[in-house]
Amino acid sequence: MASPDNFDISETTIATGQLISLDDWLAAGTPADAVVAVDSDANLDAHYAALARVESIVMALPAFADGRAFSHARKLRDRGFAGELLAAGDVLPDQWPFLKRCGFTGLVDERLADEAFGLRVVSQVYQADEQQRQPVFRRAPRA
Amino acid sequence: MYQYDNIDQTLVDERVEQFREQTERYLSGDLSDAQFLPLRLQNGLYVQRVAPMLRIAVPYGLLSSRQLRALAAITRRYDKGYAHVSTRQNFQINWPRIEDVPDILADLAAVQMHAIQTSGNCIRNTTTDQFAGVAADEVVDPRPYCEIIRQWSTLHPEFAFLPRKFKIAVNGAENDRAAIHFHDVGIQLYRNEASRVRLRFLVGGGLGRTPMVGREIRDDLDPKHLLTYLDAILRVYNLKGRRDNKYKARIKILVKAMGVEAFRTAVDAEWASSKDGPTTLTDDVLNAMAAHFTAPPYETLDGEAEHRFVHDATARDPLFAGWVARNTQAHQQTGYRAVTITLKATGNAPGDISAEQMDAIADLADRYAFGELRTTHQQNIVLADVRESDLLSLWRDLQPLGLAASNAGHITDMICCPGGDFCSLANAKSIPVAQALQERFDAMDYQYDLGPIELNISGCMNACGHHHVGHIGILGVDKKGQEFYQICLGGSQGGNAQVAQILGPSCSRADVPDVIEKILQCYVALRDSEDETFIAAFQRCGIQPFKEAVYGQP
Repeated sequence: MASPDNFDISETTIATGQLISLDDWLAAGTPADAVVAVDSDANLDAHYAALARVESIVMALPAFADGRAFSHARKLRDRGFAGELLAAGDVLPDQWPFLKRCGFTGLVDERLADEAFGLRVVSQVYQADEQQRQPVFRRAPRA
Repeated sequence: MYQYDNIDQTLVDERVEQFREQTERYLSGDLSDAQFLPLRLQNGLYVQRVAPMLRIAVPYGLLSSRQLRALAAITRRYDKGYAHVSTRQNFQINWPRIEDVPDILADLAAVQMHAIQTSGNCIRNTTTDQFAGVAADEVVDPRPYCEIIRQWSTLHPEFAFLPRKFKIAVNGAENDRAAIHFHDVGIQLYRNEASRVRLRFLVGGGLGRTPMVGREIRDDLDPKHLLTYLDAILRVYNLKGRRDNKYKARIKILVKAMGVEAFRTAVDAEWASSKDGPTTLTDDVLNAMAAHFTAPPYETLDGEAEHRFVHDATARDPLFAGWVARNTQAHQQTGYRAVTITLKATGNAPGDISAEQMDAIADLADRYAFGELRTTHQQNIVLADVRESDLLSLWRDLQPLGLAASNAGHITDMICCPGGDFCSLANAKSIPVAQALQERFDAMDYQYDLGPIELNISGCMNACGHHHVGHIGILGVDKKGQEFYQICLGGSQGGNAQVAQILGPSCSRADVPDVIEKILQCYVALRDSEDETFIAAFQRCGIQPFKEAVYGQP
């Protein structure tokens, strides 16, 4: 587990051992003080609103080519989820910039995170996203 | 045409360096084949049957003479001195070395080009009418909308790992030359009764193994909602599209499974969260983008005099007359026409263009067409703005280049995928079939007598040669290791969109020209006058007479 800025594992919620699977969390009455483990290939249609209230979510990608996590993340952020959102599972380090732009705050695998945060990135983006709230055409006049 | 600003240029430059690092990690073993796969695909790099293939984006088919010269230089320096125009209006080069690809991308970036998202399960190059901005039947110029979509789709963080590739086409003319009914999303631009621009969205069209005509999902959409509505469609697809079977992963399968009503409801629910949000376009944004696509400095011409010049020249030279009739199009501007240069000379793989031809066409574009040209999904090149009194000298200049064939829209102007000679997906070769047909039907008098016919060839079910929408379609199939060819008839990509019907049992490669000739003879016997085209006769008479002509009486 790691996040790109000033990462300190002792300050993350996962270290407290509260990780709970989506099914168990639903069965427990969707408590807000939880770290919920969600598989990104699950159908979350009925759960976005409840998930938006929790402190932390760990979302596992079943395969790096399975891009549902990116949309789940944006839907959670759209619904006001302001907590920690970590990516786990089969993540390609090169996916980190897009994960971050979709609202992920870190990667669970520290070695992967170290690799991901050291890679070259494209600094310019056209779209509005969780990092850049305005699309290119609403920013300063283009030159 | 659109010119990059600092943001666009920095983006493509940094993307090149990002890919250079990714290539180095792959070559050093830090990235596995499977990990490198989506990274290279999203930068246009395939690993093919005999060598890698690099697909270079030509956004909505528009490029400058300077860009074409840069492509010619790239094919000389890194490849075998030729390129191939694809059915998505892109260029492909077939022999690059993987380690050279970052340098090729850097050379492209230097002329405002890239290979971003020309492959992979992401949003691909948006295509449009090759006569955009000049067509006499145009209602709304689609190019500003295409560029807005290009920017929105480029490195979109949410949609880089879709269930499958995603293709968008935009048409703004009365006639549909962009095949919008056969795209994942097709957008028709039109004007409502108050003369305001509106968008009609089609969704779930496509070719491939399961050809489908797109369904209308929304009409009368204000252009300001273009991107938020696209975001909503893509988000529904990204979350709900099938990922268990690549042959059932396109959006058309999802739309069919959900039903278009339920799909529309799901999109609307998703759209509610982004509608009128920051990604909503404004009049200022639309106007600023339109200002990138203003008309070139046309001369104010005497239309009668220009027309008379062409008329007199065609009267003297029937060959020139044939070229003007078939390879030039009516234009919005008095005294100008749009010219199609077909890349379909007999003996030439359809869509292939040599470095020498690229340089020469770039020179002709500078001399006759304001330095601009277009690629077409029929794998040809268009010079969109040629003065009528220049047509004769342009035609003469094209002759020594082997580019003056007056077959546009006729049977030898066929669409053809690279097929089994190059592509690792193909079941059968397609280029030799095309060449055999070119040789058989080379006689121009016969082609003119047959009138306009679209013949499309694909080397496998993936249908890159668009065989389902050819008036005559040919599909290569594999039967126990042997190449056979299935013929289908009656496809149409335009306004009256139709998927072609299978004629009957497939035939060997050697028999294809004979079968096609029987079909053509049948058409000539059936047509009620010389004015009834092949597709019109087919639609009137159905497939049965053609079956009998090829396979005998039932």
